[in-house]
Amino acid sequence: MKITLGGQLSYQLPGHPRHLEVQLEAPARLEEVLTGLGILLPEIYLVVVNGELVELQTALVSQQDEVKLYPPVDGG
Amino acid sequence: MYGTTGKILRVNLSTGELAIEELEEDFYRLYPGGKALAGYFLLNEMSPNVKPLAPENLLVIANGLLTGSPVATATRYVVSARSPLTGGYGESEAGGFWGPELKMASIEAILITGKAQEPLYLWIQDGQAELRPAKHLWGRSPAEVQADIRAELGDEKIRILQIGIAGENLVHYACITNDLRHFNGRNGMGAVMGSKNLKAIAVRGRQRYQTLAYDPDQLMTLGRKLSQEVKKHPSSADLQDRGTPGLVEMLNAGGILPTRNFRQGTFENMDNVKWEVYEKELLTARRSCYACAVRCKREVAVDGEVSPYGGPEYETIGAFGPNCGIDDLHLIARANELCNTYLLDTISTGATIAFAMECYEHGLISPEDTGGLNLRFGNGEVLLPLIEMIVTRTGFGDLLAEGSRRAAEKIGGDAPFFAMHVKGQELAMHEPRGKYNVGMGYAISEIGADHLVVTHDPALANPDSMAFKSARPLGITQAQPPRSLSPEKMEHFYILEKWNSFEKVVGMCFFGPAPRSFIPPEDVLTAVKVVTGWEFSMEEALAIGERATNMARVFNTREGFSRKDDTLPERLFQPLENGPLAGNAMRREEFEQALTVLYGLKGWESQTGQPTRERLEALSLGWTTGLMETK
Repeated sequence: MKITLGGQLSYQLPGHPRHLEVQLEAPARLEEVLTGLGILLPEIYLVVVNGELVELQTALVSQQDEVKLYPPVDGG
Repeated sequence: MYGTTGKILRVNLSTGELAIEELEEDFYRLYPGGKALAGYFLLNEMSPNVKPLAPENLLVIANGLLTGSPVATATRYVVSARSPLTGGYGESEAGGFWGPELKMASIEAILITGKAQEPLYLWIQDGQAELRPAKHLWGRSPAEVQADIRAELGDEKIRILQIGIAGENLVHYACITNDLRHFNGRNGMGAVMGSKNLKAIAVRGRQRYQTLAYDPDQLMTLGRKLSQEVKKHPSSADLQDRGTPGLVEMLNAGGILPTRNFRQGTFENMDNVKWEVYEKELLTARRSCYACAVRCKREVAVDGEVSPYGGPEYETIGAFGPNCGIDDLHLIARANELCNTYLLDTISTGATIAFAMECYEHGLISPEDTGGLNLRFGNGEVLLPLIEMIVTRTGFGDLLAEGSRRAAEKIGGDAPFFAMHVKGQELAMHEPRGKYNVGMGYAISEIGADHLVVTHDPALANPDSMAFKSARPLGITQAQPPRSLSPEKMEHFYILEKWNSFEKVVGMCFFGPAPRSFIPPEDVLTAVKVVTGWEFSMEEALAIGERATNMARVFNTREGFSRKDDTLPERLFQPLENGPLAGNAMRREEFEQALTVLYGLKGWESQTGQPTRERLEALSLGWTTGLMETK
């Protein structure tokens, strides 16, 4: 599964990766996948799975999915 | 008095008189710089009903309380006057290096009135000032003007604030630049300078900041700590890496990227204007403002040449890109370059062009009106010619140079519906139908639609987020959903508006203090303490912010503004056409109820939006009550 960390989310992980690839052997709850990666869930504002905006709390993902995560969007 | 020399430079361009006065500390503590000082002088020294481009309009340029200190993001100064774009209180802040240089030149603020018979520039050096001829600089580019003034005065370290041809031609959204790269963009302050025949203000100061501060050692310790924090905090680290252009993709994902004059919230060709393209095809370097480790400014190459004016910010990409249906980032960079060469506000320019495009598509204007330009959304060929026409006030450009509100009134028919403005100032590139407090900020702001009135709603939606936790010292205790205008949400607004206003008074950037960014509120208060020696509380900080806002409100009340002006374009009460928020609209009744709640919190009369005597007196502004009775 491909994950894109938008904006400041990439700064939560060492090396500040903007893209991650995760191997999923079975469908899983996105929250659990992200927690396992060390990503802080409260910092996520938007979740896009395969181009569709979804709720983090209920999202299920599979190996072929593309996930984009975005933090709260502020101004400037 | 610590933290400032308290010196004010008065300039009368009609008579050529220059004078320096000193402020008392008791006064300065109530009005400690920036928009607070500006509001005080505009109310006290200018009569009502002065035409914005008349010699009697008072132009105030004032540093923030902390400007020039080694505290990251404390670089800003305000330019303020009656705005030609709105007819109300005008204000525009900028960072860069000019404000700190003015501080080192021992001047805190400049009050400019009158009109010079021929173009002049003001030269300030170490507390001394003189007016010098500028006829030879009129009509020339900012880069040429800066080089010529530095050569003329024999010092390459001189910092220069200036207007361009747009200001000379009184375009109502002409801006001001300093050091070529930092802009007082909004409200048409460049036109006010142009109306006075004042081309530039050159400054050189040799004072050391440490000699001004109450506790220079603690100040340096705090400055170092905050600079180190920049790379550790996700928000400031991202601003350093990608800067504001990184916002394009995120706003598009949320369905709040203004597209085709705010009809839509997502842009189908967003991939062509997002950060990765910018980084690959335009970016040459990252730059900063004075003593600021955030380094959010981008340097770019335009058509293979490194621009002296810096790269397009998010607002510019949004305004010339998706909001005009244009997906060519190189063309957007050229439009940015042209605006910065002539010194036009890129937000109002792009938004006014988008307005014209929609009028064209609805047949309200024809090729005969536009000089043959085909103003359809997405037609990038018209962008650069139209900017040239606006700046030179040629043909159709002369109409657009007045701003979208006045242009709509002249075009007639349904055109006013397509003019996306509040109080005459065009909306910034943030779609309020996905973040309602931003909409309330657009509506209630004294300067017209402004996106920097409060922290944007998403940051405070999750009680466990870093941003929310960092807002707790302000008194924010309960997370609120972005698409809500509940009474609890208005309490958020009331607190955040005071805090953001305080940031403007002390000269800090929106990208410094929490909850938007990395500097804890406690550290902002500490900075004030070690700079001034004052015992200083959050309560006093918020009162300063509220006082500044109320002076601007009194100014507008005196000029005839009232509740009817605190509104939003009708389009925002209609559904968005596409994206994840398709079908969503703000609701008029809910908006009006929220406005009444907010007026109540602010101590303003619900029918008029006018500050009550009780609230003004509580803010030590009792002296302003009589001013409103003269309207």
